[in-house]
Amino acid sequence: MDKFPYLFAAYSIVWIVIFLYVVSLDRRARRTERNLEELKRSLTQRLPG
Amino acid sequence: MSWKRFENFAGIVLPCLVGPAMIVALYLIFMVVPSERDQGIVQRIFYVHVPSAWTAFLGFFVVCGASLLFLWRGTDVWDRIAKASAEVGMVFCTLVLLTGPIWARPIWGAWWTWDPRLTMTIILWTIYASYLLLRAYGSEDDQIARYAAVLGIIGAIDIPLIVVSVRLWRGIHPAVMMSRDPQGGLRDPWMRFTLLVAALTFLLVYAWLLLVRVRALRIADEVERLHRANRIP
Repeated sequence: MDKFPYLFAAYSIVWIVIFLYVVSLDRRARRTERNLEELKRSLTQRLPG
Repeated sequence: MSWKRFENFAGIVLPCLVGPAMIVALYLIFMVVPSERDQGIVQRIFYVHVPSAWTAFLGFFVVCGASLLFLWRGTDVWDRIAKASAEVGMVFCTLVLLTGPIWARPIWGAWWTWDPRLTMTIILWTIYASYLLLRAYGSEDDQIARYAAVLGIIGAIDIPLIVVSVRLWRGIHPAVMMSRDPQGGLRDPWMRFTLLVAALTFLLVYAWLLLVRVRALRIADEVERLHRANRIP
């Protein structure tokens, strides 16, 4: 029973690492989306019609 | 509210909820909830195992619903939701199949047994693994998406069978939530509260992962459309 704080700490660290990884995935997806919008705009300017 | 605006809004709100919910759930599991009288500390895996199972079932029900809407309406957004939900559902279903044996070894004395509920769960995992393989290695045409949608709908039929299998075929898997035993089930209020918090946390994690995957699939579809529209090989 006295080891529970260590278990809590270990699991918390694992969860925090996973959490930060998903946050980074989400941010990268948003950045890719912004780049894609810019690419779309430049393509429509270069290739009208 | 447009879909993109909803994605952006949920993309901010969900991580803000998921982070604290995870820590609260872990705190309850390790620091607050009492150990079960007969099984001891091993039973605490229940607060991960059961919410994982519920979340996997939800994920596969979403695959079923989104696939039905895709077949009916033919809109790409439903196909993307179905595919993303199958992936996230598989993560949780795999967690169920990993945490179950960790509990079973000290309690049953065996890592695995061909109990009806366990067997039906591994069948469910196999059905959605096939779904994902079809999506990954089939071509990008609509025909494959429709085949996958049918598979996604049929797969969900297994879920009610898993739920009733303990009673129907008298397996050895414990039926904690469906127990008719007055001495069984979760009698301690902290146990019920911890299970509720863990289930809500897993639900939020599911929603967040689904959102991230749907966005990634939408970007991939837009890139594909751009390639086609501009004849880029």
